[in-house]
Amino acid sequence: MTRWMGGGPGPPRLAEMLLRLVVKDPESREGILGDLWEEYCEAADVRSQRYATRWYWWSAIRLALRYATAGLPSIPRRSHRRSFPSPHGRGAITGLARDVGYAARGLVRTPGFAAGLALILGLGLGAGTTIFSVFDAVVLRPFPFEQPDRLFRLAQIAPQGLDFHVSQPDFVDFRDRAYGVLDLAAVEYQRVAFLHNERLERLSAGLTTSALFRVLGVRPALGRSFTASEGRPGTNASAVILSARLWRSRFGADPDVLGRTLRLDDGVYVVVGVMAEELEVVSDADVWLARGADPSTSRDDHRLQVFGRLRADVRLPDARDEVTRIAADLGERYPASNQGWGAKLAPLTDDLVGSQVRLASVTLLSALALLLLLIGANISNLLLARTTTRQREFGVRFALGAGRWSVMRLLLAEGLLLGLLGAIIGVGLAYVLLPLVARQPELVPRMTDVAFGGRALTFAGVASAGEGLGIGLGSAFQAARWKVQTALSEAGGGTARAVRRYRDILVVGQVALAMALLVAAGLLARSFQQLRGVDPGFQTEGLVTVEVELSSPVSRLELPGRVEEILSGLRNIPGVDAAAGTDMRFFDLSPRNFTELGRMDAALEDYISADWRVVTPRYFETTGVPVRAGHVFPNPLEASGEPVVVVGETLARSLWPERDAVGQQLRWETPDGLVTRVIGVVGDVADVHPVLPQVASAYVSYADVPTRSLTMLLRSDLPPSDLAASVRRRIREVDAGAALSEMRAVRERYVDVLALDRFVPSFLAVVAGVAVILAGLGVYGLVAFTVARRGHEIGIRMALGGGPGSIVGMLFRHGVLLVTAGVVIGAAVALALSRAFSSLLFETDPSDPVTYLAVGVFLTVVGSVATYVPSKRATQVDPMKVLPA
Amino acid sequence: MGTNNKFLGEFEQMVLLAILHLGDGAYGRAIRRELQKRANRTVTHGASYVTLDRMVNKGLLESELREPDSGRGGRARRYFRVTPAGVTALRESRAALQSLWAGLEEILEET
Repeated sequence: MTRWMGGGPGPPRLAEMLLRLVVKDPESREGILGDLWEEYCEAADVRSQRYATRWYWWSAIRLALRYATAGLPSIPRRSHRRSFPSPHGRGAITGLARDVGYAARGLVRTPGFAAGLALILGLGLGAGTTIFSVFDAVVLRPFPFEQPDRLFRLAQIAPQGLDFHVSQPDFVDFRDRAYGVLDLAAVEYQRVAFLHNERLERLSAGLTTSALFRVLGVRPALGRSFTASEGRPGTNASAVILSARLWRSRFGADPDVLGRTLRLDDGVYVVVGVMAEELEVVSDADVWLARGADPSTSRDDHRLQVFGRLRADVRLPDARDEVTRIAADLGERYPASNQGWGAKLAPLTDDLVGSQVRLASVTLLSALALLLLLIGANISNLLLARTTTRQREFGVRFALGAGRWSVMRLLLAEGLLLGLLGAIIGVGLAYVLLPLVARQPELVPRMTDVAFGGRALTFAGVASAGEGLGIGLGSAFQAARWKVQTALSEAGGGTARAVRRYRDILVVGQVALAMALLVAAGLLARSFQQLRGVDPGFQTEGLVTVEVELSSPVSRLELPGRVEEILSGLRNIPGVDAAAGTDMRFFDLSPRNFTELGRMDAALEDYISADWRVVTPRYFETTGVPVRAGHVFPNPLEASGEPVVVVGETLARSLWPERDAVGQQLRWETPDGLVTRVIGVVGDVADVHPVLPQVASAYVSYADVPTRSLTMLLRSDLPPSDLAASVRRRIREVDAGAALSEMRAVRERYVDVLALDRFVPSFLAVVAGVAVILAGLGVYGLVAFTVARRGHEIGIRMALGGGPGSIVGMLFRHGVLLVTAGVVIGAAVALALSRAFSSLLFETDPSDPVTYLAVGVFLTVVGSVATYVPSKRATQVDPMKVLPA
Repeated sequence: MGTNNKFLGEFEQMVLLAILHLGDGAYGRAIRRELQKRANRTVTHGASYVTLDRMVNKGLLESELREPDSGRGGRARRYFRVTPAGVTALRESRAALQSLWAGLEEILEET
């Protein structure tokens, strides 16, 4: 410690500076500083350095306040009329300064009380500012694009109602025919292998044209965009544009990257530009390649993501009509592929934020508003408690001619001053909390944008001003209702009935708010328990994945053999119990393979939508998906003579409710489509998201449908990092050109998918926890205050023979009655509110009696303890002391 | 500002009297001690210094800084002396009070 704060020889310099600031007259200043120095040294000698420093600070602050308000006579002593000047006219400003000065002196006089209030307010504002900043970053802050509200995503709607990407020829039709209302652009994502520093990596490539950048309004950060001819079907452009992320991570943000060549898959590309970072909000692409939509491809192949911008002066309903009309027209013209298909425009902002995140944010924000309300009520209550004891002081002021308005202004100034103190603490807290929140794993899109900034400050400012004003007005209006006579006659120690009723209402309100918040947190926590309890249908624990892109084979037929060789290599790694491959990615919402499946004799409308995966032998053994009937694909891999399929239970039950599915024949897509024979039935799985309904699924053998992209699965108790090197080596031994992703534990992905579901209840739990503490404090404060104020009455009752038990009983009954009322009202509020966020709840009844009961009992216990402790104190009242002799 | 016709406040009178008692040694801290000792009143720093400043402004007191002592961080002491105007004001206040007290002393002193 330095002499700045105290601790060296001589008084703390900072405190001295404070005095220098307020004592203007140099002679006076010299004298005062010298006198205080003397006293400081004496105190340090007699007591201790620490004590002296504390004493010095304390004296300096009081002196500074006195000097800051000097020349302004103290109110009751004299010139009371002038000390409360008319709010109108010139006196108002100095009047306000004076009020703030008085308020500050009032607060300093009871430092513990003032610090407590400021701390409560600061905690609330800190939590509030943090929640607001998250909400702001995720939902409120506009996207980095020009006019983001005019950006949409175009999707095709299948006859069954599912959203699909757009096929290439359909996109060309939409683009050309909706030209007047929409500027449309498409992108298709593909995985490409990228040879970098002699290592192959898998990158995500966006195949698109310059139209995409035009529609989104994103310009290259470096170099150029694609030209009009690049990407025209039939041409082979060798231009590549890097994402800002790849440019930084793999090229060290080298400004000379333009003109360099890149090996992607089997082609060589020339870097022509680096895209602006903003684009990463809507796309994960690492590189952009030029390729326009080819109208000669199949209309059944839906793989384009389509973005559109409304043209100037076009209204959304008109654009929607146009899109629907085009879809209907396509259905007539190409009935085989497009009959029954619709189209829709979804706002891009919705798409990115997601209705769940929006709802979650609104829930959190409402909770926040409730919390701030609760804090305001609590502080108002505590201030009022003090105001009530100060009633006599105000009575004197009234009697001396101080206007009601001037007393109200004083209370208002007190509230605002507290708001300011709270804001300082709150901003400090948010400043510390926000980076911690932002460092959480990617909870929701754009979470990393969370930062402390001007908007957070503005929020803190507005909220604290609101709180301060609310608190001040609350006590000011209460004060305004006092009559001079009442105030003076209150000297004995009774409490005005109106004030008492107001305080009772405040306590009931606080308990009710705490109840509502706690119930909401409880419901969400239960919902999360349910979510975690969902059996995904396979063993996520100990399952490790690595995505592999095999190098191009001479013939696809050689792929199954190569994969089997890789898998047996992997199985030989010590610590690996089983290994298999599939074409899907776990807990990843990326597009999947969907198809229509039907019985041999079924009409097309009876076909069932199902997703299908390609799996290698031992897939079911490795993942732990149970085999219910029949058998699964044989090992080792070999192309089966007859196409066979393994189906999930749901699919089996839907197609053959009364019969054994094994041995049945299954048609794909259309009544003249491919026929496969069911060889086995396996358990259903939820491997995309535990909330998503289990869909019908079919598994086909990798031997029949070999692909270059595979997810390799390993079952092992070892962490992915321990396995990475040997896995890489084993794969490269077989396929030196294979590109590999990082290894990840499936469990980790699963936890990530549930991040939002975990985030909301835990945040809410913190808010609710604060609310409970505040409500407890509120009840405690009320009863303790009543005991203190009604000591006189209690003394009389005890003198009249009322035992301590009856007194405690009386106070206790009153407190518990208030708590119970609060719990009941809060339950009703929670019931009404929970309907609003019921879609956030997973298999949890918004009126779940267990939650309500548990929370109600808990709050009643807390409230009873908070009532009992101070009421017990009433028995310590000594009648001899409170009653006049 | 010179003397005015206003009577002195109670605290002002006490301060003036304390300074007269202290004579040559009347500086801030000593005045506060004197008030504490003789009138049994604890006076805050703020109240005493603001009052002293005000009385200097009114011309009831005058002050001067004297050579710094040790143990004051090299700061001078500010000594106060009652001006003739201050003495007059004290006398006037006393006279006014005495005429008001006249005839009441016995009654009041009984209780």
